[in-house]
Amino acid sequence: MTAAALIAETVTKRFGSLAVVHDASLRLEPATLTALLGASGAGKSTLLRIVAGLEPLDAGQVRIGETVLSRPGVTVPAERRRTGLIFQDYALFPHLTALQNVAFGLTGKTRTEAAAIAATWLDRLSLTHRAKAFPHQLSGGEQQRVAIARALAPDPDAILMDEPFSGLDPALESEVREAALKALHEAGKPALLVTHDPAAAMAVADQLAIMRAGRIVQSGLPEDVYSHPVDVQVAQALGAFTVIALDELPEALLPQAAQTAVPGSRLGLRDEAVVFSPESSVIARVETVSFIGAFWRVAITVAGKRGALHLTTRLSATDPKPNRGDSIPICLRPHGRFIFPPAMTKD
Amino acid sequence: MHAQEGTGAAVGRVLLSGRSAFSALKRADIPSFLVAAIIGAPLVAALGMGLATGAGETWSHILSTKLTTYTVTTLGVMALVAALILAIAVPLAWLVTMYQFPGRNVFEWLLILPLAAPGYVLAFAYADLMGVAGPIQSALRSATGLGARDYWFPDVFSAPGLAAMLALSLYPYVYLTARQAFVTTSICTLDAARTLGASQLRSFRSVALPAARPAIVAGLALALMEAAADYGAADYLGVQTLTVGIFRAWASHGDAGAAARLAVILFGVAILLQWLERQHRGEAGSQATSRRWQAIVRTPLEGLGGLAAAALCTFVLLLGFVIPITRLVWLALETGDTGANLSEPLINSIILAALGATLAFMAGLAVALIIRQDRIGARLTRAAASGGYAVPGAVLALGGVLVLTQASIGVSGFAAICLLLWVYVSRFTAAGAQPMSAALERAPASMGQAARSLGAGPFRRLIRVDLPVALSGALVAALFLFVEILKELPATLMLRPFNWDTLAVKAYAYASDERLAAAALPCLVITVAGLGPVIYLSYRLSRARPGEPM
Repeated sequence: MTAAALIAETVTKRFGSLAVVHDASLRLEPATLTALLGASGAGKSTLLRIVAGLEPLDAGQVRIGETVLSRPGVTVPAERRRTGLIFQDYALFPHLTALQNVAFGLTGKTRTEAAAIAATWLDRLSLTHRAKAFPHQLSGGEQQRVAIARALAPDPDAILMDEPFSGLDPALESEVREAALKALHEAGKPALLVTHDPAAAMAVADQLAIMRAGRIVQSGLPEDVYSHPVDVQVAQALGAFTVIALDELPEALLPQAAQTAVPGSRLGLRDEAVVFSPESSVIARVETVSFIGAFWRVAITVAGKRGALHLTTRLSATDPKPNRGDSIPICLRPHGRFIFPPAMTKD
Repeated sequence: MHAQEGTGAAVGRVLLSGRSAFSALKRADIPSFLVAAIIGAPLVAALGMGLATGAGETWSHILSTKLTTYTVTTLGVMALVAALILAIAVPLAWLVTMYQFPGRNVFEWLLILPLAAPGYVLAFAYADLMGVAGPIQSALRSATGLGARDYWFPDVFSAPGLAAMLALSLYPYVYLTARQAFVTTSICTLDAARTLGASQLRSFRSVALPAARPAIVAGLALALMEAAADYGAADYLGVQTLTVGIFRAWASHGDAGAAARLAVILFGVAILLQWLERQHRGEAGSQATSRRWQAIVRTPLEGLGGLAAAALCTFVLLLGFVIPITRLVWLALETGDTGANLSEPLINSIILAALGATLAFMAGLAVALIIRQDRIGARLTRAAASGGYAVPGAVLALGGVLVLTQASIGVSGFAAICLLLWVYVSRFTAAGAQPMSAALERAPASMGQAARSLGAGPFRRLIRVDLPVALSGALVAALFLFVEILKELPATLMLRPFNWDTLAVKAYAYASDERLAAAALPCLVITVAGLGPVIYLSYRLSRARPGEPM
């Protein structure tokens, strides 16, 4: 069966008078992993629970292909909508072995068939040797892989993941993430990953959606969202970001586009937009230097029109370490440099 | 939450934490209403009669002569028990948690042994030990040459004597909760206090104790409910508590109305205790800190300090368990007065405890599953179970009799045994539900959601997920129920068919007849049975990883 897209359209959910999810739309395509990124309290977990059928919605609808799963007053219950759910706390059944956990969702099959299918899934996630172990005997990474196998085994129409890797330590996280992505990719189903970690979201996602205060404020390819953030907060959600009033900037650093900018506009800079440039007439003073591994992250100050401006830049780790007080010439390059008109910089 | 702490308190906690919004009445509520009715009927009957019936002659008599005595004595004994328990349990818990001294590892779990012997067993043993003709006074006289009237000696047959007996058998409740609170909540904050220059004493007084207070109060409330419910020790020591009054009004004067009125007062005391416990729980927000846990570095107590700590632990153990139990063993062996054949009461006890435990277990399982729902019926079930646990067996027995009388069923023979089993269910269901409820609580909410997302409907979730998870607490529940029923005295005494005695009844009867030697053996059997749950608790205690609830 070819997979269909899972679609949430203008979904609204209120708790009392508070709209926790407001007019949110998402389109989860088959064989596509969409990351839903937002701070805690942004409403992303609620949206996931609505899509999973664990919460009713107040407006909008959720459908898979043409089949409506949720609309106001009607909710196909979670147990009947064939969506695989993966939880941060794994939620394994403590009284069942790894194999029995994976076989749990395989209804309508004989016991032997179910066990065989479950065994295949454990094998895919390199867990065959742990089949007879109970959850408390498994390590965190193993538990999470069992949870992934359990969600995928019944061949669900879509996969939903709520912070699935955040309970793991960094070494395990990448290992489990690789295993999960491989299995997800092979399954070819629409998948949604809810997370508050921008690095994790951009690393794995085919599509990225940013959620804030119940609304989806931007969505698209991760690289597009990163390079064309709709506002300062979206830019900040995806990595270190400095904001400066345009009229504070020394003339030599003003980009061309600034000449046509609305008065009151601001300039947003990622670290990579500020670069060392021997020809530049703008001299920055080094304040602090931190070693990140592949590069030095250098905090600098530049004389602005109304006082010192604080910026950060990166220098290659193969360069000699700059010292506090050093003077370096800098310029701004277009990549990672954004101009926000006043209306878009609500913060 | 560990197995001992909860019961009434934990059920109460669930009651409070329930969300305010629940769905309207539905057919799904019928089973929970049924369970609530079965558990709650005796209590409601007793209270209803106490509040509704007119005052009879016995009541006027009680009112004019005894009511003040009953109430003041009960409250006085409870206050004294509270003071003694706090003085014994909190320092001990602090000592074994924070310091290293000779024998600490063993004392840590040995100190809960006194829980195995019910208060009346201690009362019998100490009455013999400390009596005028007992070994201590005899030795004193032969050493000093004084006559029996020439000196003062503490009298066990007094309200303070009763309080001491109850405190010695009940202090482990607070020891357990306080120790758990000290282990889990205060280590990081204690380190912080120390880096801020607080002395050990100051960090105990101003950091550890306030943090542990909700847990200590919870343990204390439970211990005091048990103290208020005690009949055997109070009656034997001649202390006129409310429970003794209820029993007398009913058994001696045959006035159920007067007994029910006293029961209402006693129920008020139990409610007051639960209310107090909740007041303190409100401030417990700081208790649930992160799950990350730092190893306790115990301060070594060198030389004299270490010996003093070990001596204190030994002293409490000797008083609470070793001396009285040794005395009973000695009595049983020395005199050979085993009374009549004990095999019949033993069989009766086992039959009652097994049947009662089975029924209360099933009711407990039903309650544990029902109270997970957020419905009116679930609240009612919760209230019925925690109400039954909070009131003394004598009150429930009274209520049970009233129900049967209303239904024109005579309380004798087979009907009496059935009624007794019903009262056990009413009283102990909460104790059985607690371990299973705790097992369900430990399971994350996402587990049920995972089952749903895997296509499991309500019935399949119940059979395949909830039931197996709840049953992981089943063994503990069954064990606790069996022993609790084995120890139970007042309800059994009131309701058992004529000449159909259990071990507890036999022990009480022999002791009342001044045949302590004959009472010794049934007491010992009950205590040995009580060791089962205590050893299980000790095992949990030694295995529990600090930072995790037991």
